[in-house]
Amino acid sequence: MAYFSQQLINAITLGAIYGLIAIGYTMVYGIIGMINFAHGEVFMIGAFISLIGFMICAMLGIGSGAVAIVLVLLLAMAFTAIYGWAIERAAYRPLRGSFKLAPLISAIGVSVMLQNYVQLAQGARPKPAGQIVEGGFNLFSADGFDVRVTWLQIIIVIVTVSLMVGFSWLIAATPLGRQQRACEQDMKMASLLGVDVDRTISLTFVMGAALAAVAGMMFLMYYGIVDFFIGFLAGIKAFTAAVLGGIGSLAGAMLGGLLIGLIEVFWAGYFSSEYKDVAVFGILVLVLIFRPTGLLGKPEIEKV
Amino acid sequence: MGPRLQHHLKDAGLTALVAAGLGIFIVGFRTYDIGKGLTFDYQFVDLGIAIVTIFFGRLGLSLAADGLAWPALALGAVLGAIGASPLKLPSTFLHWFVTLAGLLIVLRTIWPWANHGLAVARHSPRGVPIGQAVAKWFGAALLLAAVVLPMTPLGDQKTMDLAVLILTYVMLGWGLNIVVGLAGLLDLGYVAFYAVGAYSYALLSTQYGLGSA
Repeated sequence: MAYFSQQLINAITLGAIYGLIAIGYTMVYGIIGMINFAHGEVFMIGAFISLIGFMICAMLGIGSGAVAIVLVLLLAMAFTAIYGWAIERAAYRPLRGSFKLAPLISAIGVSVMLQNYVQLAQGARPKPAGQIVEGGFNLFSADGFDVRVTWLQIIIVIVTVSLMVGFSWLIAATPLGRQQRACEQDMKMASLLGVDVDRTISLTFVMGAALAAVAGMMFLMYYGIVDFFIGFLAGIKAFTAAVLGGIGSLAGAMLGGLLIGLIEVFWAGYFSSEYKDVAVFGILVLVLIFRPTGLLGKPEIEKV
Repeated sequence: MGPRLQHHLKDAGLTALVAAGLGIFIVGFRTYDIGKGLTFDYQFVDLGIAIVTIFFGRLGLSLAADGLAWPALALGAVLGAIGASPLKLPSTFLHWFVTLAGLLIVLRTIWPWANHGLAVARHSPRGVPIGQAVAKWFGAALLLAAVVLPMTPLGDQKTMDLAVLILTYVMLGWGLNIVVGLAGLLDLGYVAFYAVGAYSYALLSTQYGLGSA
């Protein structure tokens, strides 16, 4: 029981990080029907900017208090958002209206380019960040086993849930969200009715990148180490989460992320940690066979 | 001229600003692991040179796109000369960066002329497209070269390794063309079959002695 609870706590934390990245995939897919394979690399850039932000905070003597975390969070979101915007502007917008594979290949190219860019600028070795938020408390003890919740895990879950609520509200109730949903349904009609499609798509990328930056910062604080290659596996897992939950749906991305976290942690905890990725992708295949649109996805309606 | 130049300058300034936003953390601060933790030093000089290059590069490109060929060519030549000069820029990479920016502007400027020249050259005087005539014997010539290469003194180990690698990629491309091009299925897992083939060969040759000379 105690072991199970501990694994559950760890799984929810991991799932929250995956979910945050998955939202970026799902929003971009929803609006332009393209899988942004560079999104994992945007997450990695967010982690690096947070790392450097924390180091600058430490140098300025802000220390590792709540102020530093909020400051770095805003900093990372803002500067990673520039990456999201620039990628869309430079690599996807010129290819819009081209044949369907073109932006996908361009996305893979951007992903490789960003990896090499960070490797060149920051070096290939893993960067240890040390512990930024320390401490926690024991939830309960059973069978001589302490179930421990760290403050960091609580921060991660609170930040994720509040961002999730905020973005759902943004999509559901603001003019920007309405424009995004309009572009999602019919881009040409939306532009005829006065929606600035280019601006809406740019803002979608900016939002996705900002969420990826939050995920990158959480990853950095949770694992305490980053290198230029973390974006690849995290990106693939988050993409899996988005597909599992039903790509195009915000709640689906979050649910998918949570499920991927649960499967991964419980498989590693009860069976073997070597085959945890096989378990994740195996379950993805099973879900897709029985529900091709994912768990919460709506079946694609052919619009005439 | 006045408002147009102003427009280009503003565009280039915005591009430089975005570049600064992109580079300030990742390029401006270089982190080092010193054993007991991380430290960083500043690379603002490198970043500054790159941003100035991006400003002038963007300016040259938009001038060229606007038809102002001579100013663009001059800007490209200056950038190329700075990059290729023995001036002490902080890193070799920056030399390449500046040179390539100049080269890019020059290419962009002469592109319309070159394109026109190519369009003219594509037809022989009798109006037959040259591309078709070339394509006929080009494949045969390549095949002949592939067969003859190992027997010539050119075919040393390094060249042969490279040639084999090239042909391996060609084969991968063929296979992918069947799945993606003809069947229309974007099969990202295609490369796994490549791995299966390599493992099969490795296991068969180490365990059963197949295929080893």
